[in-house]
Amino acid sequence: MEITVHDQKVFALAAAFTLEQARERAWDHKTTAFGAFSRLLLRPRGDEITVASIEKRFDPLWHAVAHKRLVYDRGREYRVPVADQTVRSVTIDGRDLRQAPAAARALVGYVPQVPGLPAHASAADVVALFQELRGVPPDPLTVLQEVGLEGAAARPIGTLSGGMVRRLALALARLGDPPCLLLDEPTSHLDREGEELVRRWLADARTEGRTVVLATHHLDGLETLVDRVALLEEGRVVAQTDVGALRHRRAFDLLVTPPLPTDLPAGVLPLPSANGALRLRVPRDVLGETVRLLGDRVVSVREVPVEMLLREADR
Amino acid sequence: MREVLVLARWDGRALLRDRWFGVLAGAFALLTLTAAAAALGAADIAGVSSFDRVAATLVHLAALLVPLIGLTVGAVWLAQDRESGVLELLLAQPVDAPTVFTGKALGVARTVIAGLLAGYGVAGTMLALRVGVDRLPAFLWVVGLSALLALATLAVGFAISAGAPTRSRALGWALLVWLSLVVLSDLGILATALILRLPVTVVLALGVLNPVSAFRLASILAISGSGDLAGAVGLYAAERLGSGALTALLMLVLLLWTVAAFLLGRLRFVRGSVL
Repeated sequence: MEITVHDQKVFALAAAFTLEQARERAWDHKTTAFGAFSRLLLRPRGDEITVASIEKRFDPLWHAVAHKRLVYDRGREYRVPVADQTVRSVTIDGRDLRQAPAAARALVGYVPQVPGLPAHASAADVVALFQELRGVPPDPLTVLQEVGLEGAAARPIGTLSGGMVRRLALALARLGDPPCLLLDEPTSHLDREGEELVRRWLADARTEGRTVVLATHHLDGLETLVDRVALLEEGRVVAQTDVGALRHRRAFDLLVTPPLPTDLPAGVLPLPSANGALRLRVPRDVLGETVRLLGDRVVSVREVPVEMLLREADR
Repeated sequence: MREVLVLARWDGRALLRDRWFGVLAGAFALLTLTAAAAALGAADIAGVSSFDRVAATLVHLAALLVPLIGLTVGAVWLAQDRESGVLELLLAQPVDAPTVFTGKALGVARTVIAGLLAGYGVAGTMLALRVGVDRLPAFLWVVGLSALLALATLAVGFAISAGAPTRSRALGWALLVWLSLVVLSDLGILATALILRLPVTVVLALGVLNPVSAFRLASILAISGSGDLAGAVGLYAAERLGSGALTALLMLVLLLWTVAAFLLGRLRFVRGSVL
């Protein structure tokens, strides 16, 4: 399935604002926010604002004015949101989310990071509501059984644990068998059994040819679940690669005491190090051989984080 | 349309579980009952019958409480769903934003009207048993006008809620509007009329454009059949337009408030939903 986002400008890069520009912009925000009362405000003195660092949800400059105690890094480049709403269009499988919202949304099952479910309603009632909205015959008990919540069908959602709410949200996202699943941290709050369930579902979805967009901070073990990985920072993709390439680069960093033997396996790279110890980047397939060769000179072994591999692969 | 009805049914039931609405609806029922009992307890005075006393008491009570219920319940309804994330999940389903807004508004309106009818029902039953059913039509007029006022203020509440990020902010705005409509408007019009020496027609327009004033005036006309008890502005308006035409005008004002606020709220809601 093809998902296209056009002109997504949630953050526009504005490199290296000067202090004067920053001050002007902050003043603009202040006067806009206070409207007619802005005349009563005193214009800030020069030393009251310094240029802001990156802040995700606030305009950093407005934030700086509002909270003068915060000191920002004057020399740093930062980003300024250009507007609240700048996504011009999103199409899912050719259906424009703005022109035909119901048709486009029918193709997507969504689990937010914090599922907002009505606290006073029962789990069964919520499933029945979402089934009706998706045009699925109401059968809440079967759905709840799939996620092991049949015993909690009549309980108000406010009394369920975080893991149970997450299971319920996952069950809701699968209603109507949408061809695309948008999952934000689907395994958070889940116990081992719940995580297994999610992994099984994701594997099934992959087999069935569904598109799964998964946002997670738990990067390890991703290669078994997805085909492609992207790294997001401040809402922008900063690196992406195929899982095959990532798998190929899986490696370990070894801290070893000198001297190094001359006959290290192929692919082992020395890295910059400190404190007299040596660091080696060792591909996974020669890890055993390398450790045997180095013997008790190995101080520590640490798997290279997926995030780092991803940045390196993208470069 | 099917989705609108599904959401209306859901939200109508959800409102019955809402503590704030429960307190307000309960207070309304209790106060109508108390007011009716107190007004019926006294003998007829100076030509004012028991029914008129009860009805007048209920009108003044409704003029205070019905806008409070409509504005606060409406204002809180979408804002609390937005704050808790319910709206985000709902708008990820195959429904568009206008459908969600309309369904929720209809569901809440249905339950609020049902709550009002229950509150009036207690007082109405007591009135029928003690005074008889001769003046029942006038009483039903007051009930109907209260329902219109509830719809108008509920629509204003939803218009507030459509753009409010949090429940507390929405509630603050709702209380401010309530205060303006119920308390400040009459005083403000009086002061403006005195200072600017406004023509009587302008004063009349300013008075009837307030939905609470329109309800009060229309209800008094329904009870007494004339503008004699409706104050100087009411008396002037009734003489100028006739009681029937004035009542129709006042009902039109309430309807216009409902439709305009509903459309404004729907527009704000749709614009506020990113996609």
